[in-house]
Order: sequence, then C-alpha cells, then structure tokens
Amino acid sequence: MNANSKAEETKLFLKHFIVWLVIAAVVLVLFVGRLIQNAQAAKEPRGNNDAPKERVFDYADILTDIQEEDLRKYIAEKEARYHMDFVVVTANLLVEGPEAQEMYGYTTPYWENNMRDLADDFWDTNHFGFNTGFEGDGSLLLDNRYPGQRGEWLSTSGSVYVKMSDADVEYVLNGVDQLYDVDPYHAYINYIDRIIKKTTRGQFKIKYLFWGVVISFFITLFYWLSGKADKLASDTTAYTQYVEGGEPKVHISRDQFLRKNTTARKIETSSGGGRSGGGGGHVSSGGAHHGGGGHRH
Amino acid sequence: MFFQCKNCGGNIVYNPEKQKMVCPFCESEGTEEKGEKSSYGMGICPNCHGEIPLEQFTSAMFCPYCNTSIIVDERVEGEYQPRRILPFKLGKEACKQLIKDRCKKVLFAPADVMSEARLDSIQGIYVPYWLYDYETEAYYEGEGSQIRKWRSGDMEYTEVSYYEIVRSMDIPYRLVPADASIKMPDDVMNLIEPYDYKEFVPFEERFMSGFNGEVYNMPSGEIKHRAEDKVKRSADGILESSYSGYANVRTIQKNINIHEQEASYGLLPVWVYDYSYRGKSYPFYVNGQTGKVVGKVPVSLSKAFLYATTLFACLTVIITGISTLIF
Repeated sequence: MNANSKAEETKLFLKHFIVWLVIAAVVLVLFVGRLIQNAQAAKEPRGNNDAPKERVFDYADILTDIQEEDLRKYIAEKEARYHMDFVVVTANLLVEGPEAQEMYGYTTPYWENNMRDLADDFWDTNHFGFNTGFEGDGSLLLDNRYPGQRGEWLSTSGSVYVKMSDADVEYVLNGVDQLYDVDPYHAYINYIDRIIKKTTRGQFKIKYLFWGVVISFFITLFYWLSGKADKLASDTTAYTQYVEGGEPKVHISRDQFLRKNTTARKIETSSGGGRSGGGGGHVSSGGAHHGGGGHRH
Repeated sequence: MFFQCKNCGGNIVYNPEKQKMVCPFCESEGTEEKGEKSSYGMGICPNCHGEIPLEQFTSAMFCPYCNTSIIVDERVEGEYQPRRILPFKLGKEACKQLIKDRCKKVLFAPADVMSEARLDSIQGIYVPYWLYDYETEAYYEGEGSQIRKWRSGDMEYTEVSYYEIVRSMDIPYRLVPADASIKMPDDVMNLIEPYDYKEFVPFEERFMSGFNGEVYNMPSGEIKHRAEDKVKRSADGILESSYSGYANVRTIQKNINIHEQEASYGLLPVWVYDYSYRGKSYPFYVNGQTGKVVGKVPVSLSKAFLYATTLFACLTVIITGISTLIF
C-alpha cells in the first residue's frame, strides 16, 4: 500500500471512529477516576470511635449464640469493606396504643411513629456511624416481636440515607420479609446485603465487564457481517420494460364470484391485578436526619 | 479506419458528455474526417502501421503502439454491420465516480479499489447484443379467495369468498436483449439492464471512436433462449399482477405462447473496470447510459479485523464504564 493510500485509510478510519474513540476515552477517564476514588476511600480509617463495638442487640432472643457470633463477624467484614455501620436490634416491646405511650413515654400511640423513633433514638444515643457519631454512615434494623405488633423498621443515616430512595427501602424490607418468620438470621443477612447493593454504586464488578464483553461481541458480530455483505446488483428491469406501448392488449379480464364460506369462533378473554408500598425522611429527637421505613406483620 | 481531426490531424474521438466528436488534442468539436480504409489488412494499425493483436471478435480497439482508436472496417460492415447503436452517455470520469460511490457502501473495501491509478484502467466497450421481437399470447385461469373478518360481541367471524379468475392478453415485445459476447458474463449483462431505448440511433462508426468493441460471437439462434426466458418471466409477472389483491390464488391453467418475429443486431455501451485483489479478479460493469453499477466489492480482511476490533474495544470500555458509574 503506498503512502497516499495509507494516509487515505487512516483518514477514513478516524472519520469512522472518531466519535466512538472520544466517548470511550471520556468514559475511561471517568472510570479510572472512580476506581482511584474508591481505592482512596477504602484506605480511610474509621472516623468514629464513640460508638460501641457491639452491633447485634438480640433483646428478643431470636438468634442462637452461634448465629449472633456469625452475624457479628459478617457485619464486621462488611463494615470494613463498605465503610458503613450495620446494626441489628431485636426487641419484644409494646409500641402501640395509649398504654404503650404511658408506659414508655412515646410521643404518639401509633406503631409506625414509635418504631421509627425507637430505631432512630437507638442509633443516635449510641452514636453509630462509620465516619462520625452524628449523622454518620450506616443503618439499623429494629425487629420487634411483640405479639400483635410484630414488624421491622429500617433506619438509615448519613450516606446510606442520601443514597437510598423509597423504592430502595422497600427493596430491603421485602428482603427481610421473605425470611422474617422462617429464618430471621438470614433475614438480617438479606438486610445487610440489600443495603450494600443499593448504596455501593460506582463500584466496579466483574459482571459489568462480562456483560460489556458479551453485548459488545454481538454488536460487533452484526457490524462485521453487515460490513462484509455485498451483492452484484439488484434486478431493476420491470416486467413491462420490453412490452411495446408499455402494457399488454387485454382481451378477457374476468373475476366471477363463485361462493363463500363463513365460520365463527368465540374470543377468549382474561384479566389480572397488582399492589404497591413506601417510606420517608425525617429529623429524629436527637436532631439527626434519618431515612427508612417499616413493615408490620 | 480511424477518425482524424481536420484541424490538427490528431485522433478525434466521441465524447459522451458532449454527445459529439471532440479532438482531445486541439479540443475542436465536430471536425472529424474518416481516415481511408487501410490497405494493409485487418491486423495492421492504419496510423502507425504497427502489427496489432487483433482478437477473433474485436471490432474496435486502441493500437498498443500509437494509442490510436481503430475501428476494424471488416467488422462493422456487411453481415457485421449493427442495425443500431446506443452511444455512450457517461464519460470515464463520471463512471469512475460511480464505482467509487459503489465501493464506499462496503465498509471493509480495500482502500486502493478506489485509487485514481487503478480506476484509470477502466475501459469503455460496445457490447454486441441480439435484440428480439416477439408476439406473445398469455392465458390464465384460476381461483382466487378473499378473506373478511369482523367481531360481534364475543364472537369473531371469518368469511372467505371465492372467485373464478380468467385473463387473456396479447403482449408484444420489442428489442428484448441478449448479449452476444462470450467474454461478458450473462448474469451481469442481465443485471446491467435496462437501457433507455429511446436513445438508440442508426449505426455510425464514429460513435465507436474512443472505445473498444466486439462483433456478435454467435448467431442469434444460439442465444434466443435467453431472450425467451426473459419474455416468459415478464409474461408471468404481468399475468400475476393482473390478479393481485387476492389472499390466495390457485392456478387451474396457464399458457404462454411465444412467437419470434425478428432478431436484430445492436451495440450497447458498458464501462468495465477489472480490479485484482489478492490474486482474485473483481470486475465492475457500469451501464454506459444509465450508470448502473454491477459488481461485487472485495473485502479486506485486515481492514475488517481492525475496524471490528476497534469497535469491540470501544463498546466494551463504554458499556463497562457506564455500568460501573451508574449502577
């Protein structure tokens, strides 16, 4: 290939790919920047030493000793990796009604408000939070097993509160609900895993690379096949091209009705339905901003 | 013979863009005079008297020594005189651009298929054709059905109506072409059609000046089956379109009778560009009147690989990067 052809080829190549290359370069820079950012964040030590070391408060005695220990280890591992506190509190408390209000000094007789306040206050009082003891990063799951008033409440704080939407909170609570009665230990594991899933955006995962490669492969395959596709030419000669005058001399053109048949069938129909849910952000009695929500069983 | 310019004595040729004789040396127009018939015989250039490699069916060519456009007298007169000729309408430059446009549509075409140096080798050829006239009778009998559906309440009704279809027509065909050159592939010559026959003119040698040409390689009887196949397909298509609109058609009887009336000899213009790539030939044929290009563009595997790899890499980075940043 001579110099002119090579220059022409390079020009064609760049013309064809300049936009893709620029976009890829920009994405790559942002991606590397995020990786560096994550790496630096991972090195930051715990900024809050006011909170107790304990994370599992099984007042309702739901878990076995082994489960409690396993849960502590699981939480410690996740906290070190994701830099947020996870707290599990089980209780057997009266939280609803005037009696509860009188006994425990709740501000309202309502289940939702009291569960929320209990969870938030427990967090604030103990100064939980990975980076700081006030509005620090993390979440608390309060599981109340009082008969007739059973349910869980999720309290979020700091970056967890900021990153999680109402739908995310529902997602976490649904994960707890799935195993609430049959396997509380794994219900709490679900809570932790789902919080991590919804708050750790911007983390590189191998599955992104896998899907990136797979999708790119199929698009490239289509591109390869279409780039190679070629045929001699299409037949553009009309049927009447060589007919003198452009049309035939028609002697007979008859369309005579013969008969008809009619058939009928019944149309099948079907129907369906759906449901929905939610939660919200507020300021606790300690003056801290919390998010979250709860489910009553 | 060859055509000389009265002004400067140079070899004057037919210019497709101007549709007249133009001298490439002094640019005079219409100043041609026919050179005398060579007394040296067919295989000698009438200008420089060099021996020319005249092939069996060649009727016009360029002298390999003096590049004069020569028309072989013996092959354009008597039984070899064409009745009609369709002069070139597209010049070499226009044709080169058409080929470039065609090649640009294939992403992985090698770069030098469109290089000026390569495209300059393009040649204009008057291809010999037998042109047939036919009178045809077409008769069709069949049964067609039309379907109607509608709903009423929770019931759906389907009504099928049946019709007897009868068609009878005479179809006169004029100048159905079949190329009479062994060198030109039949499938390509079929695809390069159609030509606009309104631009046919009675044959004159001057139209061949500046181009190559051939006489018919075989008599009309030997290739008329190709023209008859075209007529049958055409008649089939005309019949079918006359009863379109039915959901289904069942044929009971179909007859197409073809009667040949006449076969005449004519010349049609074709530009030919032969591109070699990796030891294989990729010829392109361009209709010298309409500009339709027939030919398969080669694919450069190295270019295809480079482009595909680049796209794959860019897409992988973009998809992986965006997934990481967003999710």
